[in-house]
Amino acid sequence: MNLGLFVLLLMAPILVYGGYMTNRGRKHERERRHSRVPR
Amino acid sequence: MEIVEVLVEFPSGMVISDRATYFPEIGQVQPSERLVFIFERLTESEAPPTVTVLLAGSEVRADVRVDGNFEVGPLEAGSPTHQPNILQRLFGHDWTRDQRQQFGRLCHSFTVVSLVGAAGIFHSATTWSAGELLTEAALIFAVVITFLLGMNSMNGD
Repeated sequence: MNLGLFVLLLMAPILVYGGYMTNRGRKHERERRHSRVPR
Repeated sequence: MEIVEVLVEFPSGMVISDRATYFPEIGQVQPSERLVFIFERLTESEAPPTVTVLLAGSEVRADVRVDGNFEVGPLEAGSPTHQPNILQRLFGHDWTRDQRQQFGRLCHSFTVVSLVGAAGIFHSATTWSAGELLTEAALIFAVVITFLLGMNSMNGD
C-alpha cells in the first residue's frame, strides 16, 4: 500500500476523534462559562 | 465531611478556584468565608456565576443557595461506585483545556514526522512515478491537516 495513504489512514481516526472531542469540550466549556441567566 | 475543590466561573471570564467543605449527608458544600465575601461583592456587578465542585474526581455542577452554601446536583456521574464502560470513558466526558492542548501537541508531532517523511521521499526519489507523487501529495496533505488541527486545538480557549 502507498505509504502516504497508509499514514493518512492511520491518522484519520485519531484526528477525527480528537477534533470531535476538542470542539465538544470547547463548546461545553463555553456554555458553562456563559450562564443563560440574563443580567 | 471532606475538603473539595470548588471552581467559580463568571461569564466575564473570571475564574476563582478554592477549597470548601463538603457535607455528603445533606449534599451541600460550604465555601470558605473569603469566597463568600468575594462572591457577594462580585455578584453586585457580575452576572451569576456557575459553580463546579470536584467530587471523587468528577466535576459536579452546584447551585448557589440563599444562605451562601452550594447545593450539588445528582451524584450518579461523580459517584466513586460508578464504573463507566470504555465508550463512556472515551466519549462520556468533555476534554479539558489541558487535554485539548495535549492533542494539539500530538497533532504537531504528526506534522513533523509527515514533513520529515515528505522531505525524505522528495530527496530520495530518482524517478517521479505516479505512486511516488501520490505518496508525496498525501504526506504534504497530512502536514497541512495536522498542523491546522493542532493549531485549532491549542488556541488557548
